[in-house]
Amino acid sequence: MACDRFADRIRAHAHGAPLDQRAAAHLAVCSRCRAMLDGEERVMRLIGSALGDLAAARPAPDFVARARAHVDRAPSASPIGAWTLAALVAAGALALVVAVAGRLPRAPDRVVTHAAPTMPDTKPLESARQPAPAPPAAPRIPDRRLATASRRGGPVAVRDAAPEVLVPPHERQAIGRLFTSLRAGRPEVVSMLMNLRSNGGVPIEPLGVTVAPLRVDPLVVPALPGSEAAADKVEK
Amino acid sequence: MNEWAGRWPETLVTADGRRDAEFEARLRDSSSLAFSIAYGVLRNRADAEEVAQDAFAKAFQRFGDLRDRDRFRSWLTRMAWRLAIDRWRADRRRTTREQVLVSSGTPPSTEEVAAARERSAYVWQAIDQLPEKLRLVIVLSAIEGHDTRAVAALLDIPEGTVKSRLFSARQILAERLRWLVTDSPIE
Repeated sequence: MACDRFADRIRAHAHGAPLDQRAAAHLAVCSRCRAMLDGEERVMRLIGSALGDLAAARPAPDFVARARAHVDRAPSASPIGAWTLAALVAAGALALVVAVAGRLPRAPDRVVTHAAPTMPDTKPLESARQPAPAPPAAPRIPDRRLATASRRGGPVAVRDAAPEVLVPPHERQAIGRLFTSLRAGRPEVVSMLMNLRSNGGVPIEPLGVTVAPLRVDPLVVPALPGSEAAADKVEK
Repeated sequence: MNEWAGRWPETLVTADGRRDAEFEARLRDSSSLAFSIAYGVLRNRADAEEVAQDAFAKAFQRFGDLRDRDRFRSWLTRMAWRLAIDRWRADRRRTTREQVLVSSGTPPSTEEVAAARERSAYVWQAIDQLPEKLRLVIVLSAIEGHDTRAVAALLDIPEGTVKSRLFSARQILAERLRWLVTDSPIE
């Protein structure tokens, strides 16, 4: 039936699509399709009427003033972009960590080997009468790798546990305050970090720490064995 | 101000003042847009004003991140829409909706008002159920003065995409609302 062929196109025309010539010609002679188009256009008018309510809606006259006050109450914006701020925070944290780590005394790198106690070759007679000294008590094993090595029967070495407190308390507090300030988006701290100079540390007085510049030593790569001979061959 | 106020570099202070003035102008220019977008989702005047204010506060906080200031309205549109949708989802169980009826020349009778309100509620229910992309396009196109080109600029998408989405939205709405006009005449 011709109406079925044109129904979709006629409905689409009511929704905003252009009508082709054949469909238009059919519409001109078919009262049923005209009624369908009329019904579809009434639906569109109904939708338009509801959306017209939206177009008529306006904010209250004092809305701008209230919005301005609301903006003023909101936390102030950062003068620099969020990504820049994040990069500066990361750089500042790295500089602080390097500065603090450089001032810490390093823990001694002692290695204790647990082997069978060796008896001296010669002993005085008095000491021979004394009971043999008890072997030193095995230290507590803090490392999982150590337990694994012990199970495998390999040589056991215990590296002294690192001290629990790495950062002096006053510097730890200062770092904490700095991070709190950065997290709260205080731009003045960021601007201070931006003022870091490469020719010397910059003191952050209210925080009680000095940020030292990063110093990167040149990397020296030793020549690989045989590389000189290979270079000679290339030259020849 | 805090103890750091005197230590701010001069350039920052100047840039800050300039930014505030620029934002103020954009707030005045776009207040109606933000409100209309929020109202298109929430259809409650007080809620829409709150959401629009939140959108401006958020926009102010991130104003420094906006490199192309000419795209402020597009940026604000997305922000207001997202905030309004979040609010709408939170308040989905809200039962009373404020409906603004456009007054005609003669005051409508109580039955006419009730019938119009009911039909409008059905239409908005159908709009609320549209996919979000179609819903945004149909709400923005309904806001006065926004043709497809303006909607495309606001959403930063091609105009053809706006037309296509509008057409799809109308098709879906017509499918869902056709029963409203089959039994009784609307006008």
